[in-house]
Amino acid sequence: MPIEPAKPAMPTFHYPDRPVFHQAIVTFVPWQKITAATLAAILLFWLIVAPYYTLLAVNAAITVFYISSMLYRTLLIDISLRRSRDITIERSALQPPNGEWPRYLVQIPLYREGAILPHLVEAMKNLDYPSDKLEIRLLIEEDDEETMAVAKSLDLQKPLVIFPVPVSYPRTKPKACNVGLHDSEAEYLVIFDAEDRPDPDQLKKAAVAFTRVAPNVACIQAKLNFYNPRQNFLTRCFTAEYATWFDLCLPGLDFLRAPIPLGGTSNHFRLKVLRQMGGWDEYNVTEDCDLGLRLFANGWRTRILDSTTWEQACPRLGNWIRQRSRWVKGYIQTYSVHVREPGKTTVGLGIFNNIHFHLLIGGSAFSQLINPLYWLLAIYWIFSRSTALSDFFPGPIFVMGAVCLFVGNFLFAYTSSIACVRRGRGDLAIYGLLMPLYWVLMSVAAWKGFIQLLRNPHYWEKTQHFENQ
Amino acid sequence: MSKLSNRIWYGTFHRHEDVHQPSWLPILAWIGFLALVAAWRLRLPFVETEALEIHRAILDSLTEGQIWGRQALVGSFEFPPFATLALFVARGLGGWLGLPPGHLLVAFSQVWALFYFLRLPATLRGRVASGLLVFFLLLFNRETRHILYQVDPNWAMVVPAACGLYHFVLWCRSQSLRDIILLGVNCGLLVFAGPAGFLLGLIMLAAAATRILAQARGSNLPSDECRGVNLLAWAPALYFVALIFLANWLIMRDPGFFMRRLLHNLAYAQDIAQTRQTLHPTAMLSWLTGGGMLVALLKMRDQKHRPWAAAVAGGLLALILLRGGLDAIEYYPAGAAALAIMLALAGLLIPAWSFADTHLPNRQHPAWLPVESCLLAMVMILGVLAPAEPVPEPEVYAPPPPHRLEILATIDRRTPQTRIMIHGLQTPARFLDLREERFVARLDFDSQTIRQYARDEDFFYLLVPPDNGRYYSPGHPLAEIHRAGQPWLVLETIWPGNWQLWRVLPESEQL
Repeated sequence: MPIEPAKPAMPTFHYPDRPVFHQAIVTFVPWQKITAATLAAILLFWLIVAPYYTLLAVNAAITVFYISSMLYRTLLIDISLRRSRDITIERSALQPPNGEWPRYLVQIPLYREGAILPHLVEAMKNLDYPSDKLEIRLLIEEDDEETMAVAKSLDLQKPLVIFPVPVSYPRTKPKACNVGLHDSEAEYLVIFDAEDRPDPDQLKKAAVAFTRVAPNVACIQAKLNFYNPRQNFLTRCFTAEYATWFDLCLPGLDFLRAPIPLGGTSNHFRLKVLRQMGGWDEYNVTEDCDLGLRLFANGWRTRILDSTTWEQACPRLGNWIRQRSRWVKGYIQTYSVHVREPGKTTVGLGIFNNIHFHLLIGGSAFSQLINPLYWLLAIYWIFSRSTALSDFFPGPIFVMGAVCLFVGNFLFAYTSSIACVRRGRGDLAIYGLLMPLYWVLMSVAAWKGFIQLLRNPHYWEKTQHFENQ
Repeated sequence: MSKLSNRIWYGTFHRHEDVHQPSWLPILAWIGFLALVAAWRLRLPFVETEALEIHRAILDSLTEGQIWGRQALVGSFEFPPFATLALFVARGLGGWLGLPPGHLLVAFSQVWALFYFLRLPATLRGRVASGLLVFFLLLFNRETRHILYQVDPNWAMVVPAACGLYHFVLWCRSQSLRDIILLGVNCGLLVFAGPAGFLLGLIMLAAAATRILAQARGSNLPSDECRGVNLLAWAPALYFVALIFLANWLIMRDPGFFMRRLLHNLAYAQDIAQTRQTLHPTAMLSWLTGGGMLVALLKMRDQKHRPWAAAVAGGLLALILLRGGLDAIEYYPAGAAALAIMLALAGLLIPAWSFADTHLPNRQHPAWLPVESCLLAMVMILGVLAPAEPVPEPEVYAPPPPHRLEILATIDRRTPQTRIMIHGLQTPARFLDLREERFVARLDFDSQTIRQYARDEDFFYLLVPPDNGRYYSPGHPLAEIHRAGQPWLVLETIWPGNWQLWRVLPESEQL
């Protein structure tokens, strides 16, 4: 059963008629804590009794995990390159389904985004959709005077409306989105971020796409990419990473009918289904990823739309690390929430989807945390040729480890280059090969997120957006 | 698929219509067909080679964790790591299937090449088939037919070569990103396949790069994308080259070791070629590689240069046929009939090739140009596989080494249970000692290491093969020792065939 929330310092928002589902209000439930503690105790015991064999076994298990991740990624990308299943809507097909366009609700949660708000309004005005069928809600926290003042000064016209979000706990983006979910007559809903610039015809494409897909498709995810890819090294690598995820991995998952962790914005939903699902988990800091899995577990599917929303890549390291640490924290939260009923999850997902779930959600966070250790070991071994270290890499483990180190790392970097070329940014392909430097930063952020998860799990590391350069 | 198996594989969360059901029938049909072909190939003759023996020795040494195995894996480009590792995989599978690993490897590689040829789109396959006339022509030659029967682990190279060629052909037609990626990856793997593989990969990449640049010049491809596609094609090969340097640095403590060794051996190969009346395969390699690249570049350039390309291609064909003819005469003193057939075919084929290349309209298909160039490269593989199997030389050039027991008996009479240092590839492969009880093998020659052994073990020996270029190149330190000795060595024995056994003196006893 879900855990009751702890007493917050401010009132908690009340959701009328909300279905019950597992939430990240506590990161680990008691049985998970007991299991983790027991496993840690067993490991410690064996480390004392037989340190060599224990470390050898741990090393073997991690090496097998690395090999599996490598093979999995290769398969996913090959499928994506071979037979992509994105929904492609030609311009000529952008006709109102059943004679008229459905009502669309756009939600844009804003918090301290006054500086970027005028650009957002411009981007929203560019959306090509009948204004009488469209409502664009700017979800602004009631106590965010700065954003509220800018919004009021812009003299907003319909379909843009200010939608105040009452001050309540937790102070997260999904909470704001949930508040905006009610009292709308729309058929479809999409979430955008403050700095987003969606392709102008994206709403029309999504509306047409919903009529073409199976009735059990509840969400259509548009692709995300950046409008400032060449600003600095960080934005170049970030672009390569995003292209890998949205242009290579997600289409592969789509083809395999696998659970798809949603991206933070540009997810188009059937509003009715979203309400049935209870909206987003306001305690989860990657609420979109959680929702994607929850949809899947309830028999709903997500598809990928060949339309892009252009975002801003964080050009500043500190800001980027904050954003990334939140993502890793959220992935661990999501993983923890979805294994609370391990039997149900395992049986429900089946063998194939279990592989997707564990490698994509648990595996990606785990590898970011564990990578630095193995990089340091590799560097130490190359320069010291330590025989003590070699003892932990006997024959087959050494071969697998060497494959991961010399082939696996290259493969991951190479796929980033592939993604850049596929995205039409061939000049950034070289930065794909420099991704190992970027991975170091990812691991730094992962550790920050992991530590924060233990100390302050619901804290929302706000991504600061900058005026366009 | 039954409901139960759907639930097991896809879980209970899915709805039946969601599940992607791959069509297994064509896959099973392919597997069945290829298994039949492989079974047929396994019934054809197999001829064991020295290359197999050496790769097998490297593999045994490697799995025993010996230094020589590791050195030979990364430091000998003429016995490349791709073949050794392929043999490793074949050994595992062969043990499971109850087949000799070498036979399995050769059969698999040849069937794999056939598989890719058959997968080519029908329109291209017809054209490739016409080009393969050259290949069948070579089959008239006893030596090239013999290559198909050889149990040489270098056959493994045909797998990435065929795969790379297949995707190259497809890419020329469709410009699909996946094809250029797989071309790049396979050319990258060919880096590990020795000089022949390396050069074949280089030819394909150069041809691809020429086409990419031509497209960029013709404004069919934005320059950004052109850079990106070129990078995708070249990156694996460049990375794997860097990896070879790194491996040499890690194991040989000299990043350029493999290259220096290769260059020495190539220099030696030219020497040995002069001792024969026919053209040596390695000499053929340089002609065919250079010529193949020239043909590819000329063809890609423009219409004006195509007759030149045809002329060069004709010259290369003539060279191959000349070699075949000369070999026919050498192997069969009364082999005039075989020579006559080949010359007649050549007389028909070369003008036909040149005419068709420059005049027939269907030859203008853009996919055809690189196909032709790559066919030449494939012919090159056949020509180049031979160097792994040393040229069968008269006894005067390659006298047999003394027997292992004879060597051990010689030193045991004076200093029982002492050890002998051996160098290179052929000698350690012949005297393989996985426990290093009597023979200590190294790929590189380091006098300090040898003298260190002499200090530690009191009595220590050095076996020096004859200086005929077969076991080491002319500039190698062993050549100098064989000729004039060293102050820290005492000559103990000379066996027939000029094999020398030297006793290594500790520093205190230096002459």
